[in-house]
Amino acid sequence: MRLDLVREPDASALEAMTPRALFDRYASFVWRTLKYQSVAERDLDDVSQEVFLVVFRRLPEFEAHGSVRAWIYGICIRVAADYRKRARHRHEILVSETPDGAIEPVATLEVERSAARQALTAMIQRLDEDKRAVLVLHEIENLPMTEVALIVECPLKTAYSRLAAARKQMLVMLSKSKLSER
Amino acid sequence: MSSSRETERLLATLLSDAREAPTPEDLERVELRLGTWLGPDRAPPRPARSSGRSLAWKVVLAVAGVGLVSYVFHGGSPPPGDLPPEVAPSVTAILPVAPEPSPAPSVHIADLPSVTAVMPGASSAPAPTTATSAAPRTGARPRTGHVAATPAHPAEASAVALEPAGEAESEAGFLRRTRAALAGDPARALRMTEEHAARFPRGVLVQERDVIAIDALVRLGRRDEARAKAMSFRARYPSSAHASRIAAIVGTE
Repeated sequence: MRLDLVREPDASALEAMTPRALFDRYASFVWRTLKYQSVAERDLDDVSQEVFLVVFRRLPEFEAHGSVRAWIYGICIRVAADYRKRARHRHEILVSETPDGAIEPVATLEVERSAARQALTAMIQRLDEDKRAVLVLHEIENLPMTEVALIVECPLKTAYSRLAAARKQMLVMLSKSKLSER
Repeated sequence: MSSSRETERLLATLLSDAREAPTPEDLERVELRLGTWLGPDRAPPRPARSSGRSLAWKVVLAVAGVGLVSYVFHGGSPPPGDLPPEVAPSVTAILPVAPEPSPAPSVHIADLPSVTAVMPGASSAPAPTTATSAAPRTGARPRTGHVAATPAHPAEASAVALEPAGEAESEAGFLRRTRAALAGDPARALRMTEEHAARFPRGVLVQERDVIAIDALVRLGRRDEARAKAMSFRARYPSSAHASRIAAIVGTE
């Protein structure tokens, strides 16, 4: 398979590459990507802003034949890595933050839902980077595997292999979490 | 013991639910932080996203019980590859793994070139601060002067945007209205920035409020006050992403 044939339909539409259009189209994607790259909830505003500033300023470097999403994803990964480095220097705890109090035995639906989201985030963050990227891009971002392979720069078959491994690991984690209570 | 099918269903629901983030409020805050870099405001506010998955959640949580919640707080971390035989992955193509892509170098915003000269959205943006204020400190092109109290795009300060949204209005929503008022009524925008501190004592968009206040002062011709406020801003937030915008607004760089 030739990856250079797999392009987003909007890739050549440079007239749509205004800051507003890019923000409207990719803000949620950037937010979620950063979230699963271990950016703390409290810092997602700041780091998302940082990503878009980089995007806007590097726009002249973007190659018209490339995938916009892949390009933005790469920026997210680098900015998040830089963020984690800074956070380590400040000795901050970025993930799996738990409240001080114990959970009420009878939690409301929203509380349980929120805790479940936290759990999912924690589990995804435990995956290796290559598996995590494929899982998030395909299962959460709903991108076709051809585009996922393009973004993570690997052959399609490898992307499928990583997805299978990621799902397997997630199911184990989920299964054990339930077994621990039953 | 839960079946593998239940576990798969739970995973599918969790992943599906994860697509609901971020909330419109989350995006509004980021949008506000980007301010005039984005060009004209989108006229209608984002509609609140309602969750269509509540029923699915009730079902899944009923099946899963509180086990998942306890997972977070007990911090389980199973070793990879420890898969029970009944839990089969839905994708079965297991093939050799390609070499890892090499990591790209870290990016620093200050090292990046300006994009203002090539962005159609920026060049046609309404407020005088839009294109020029986005220029980095190195200044790829000369700045133009700031035109006081001249709404280049009256539509930006639409009546809808200026309507108060009630007591439950978010901080981001309030500042969006404040920014919308900037072009047509900078005095009002300035008053709103003063009101912001009282309405949102624990607000997180203080920097964005100050940028609007400085812009309003310039538009009102109160340049000395604007410069003083800009100096104070730089002292408080020396590494702020808004520094270059503020410099462009007050014309100190």
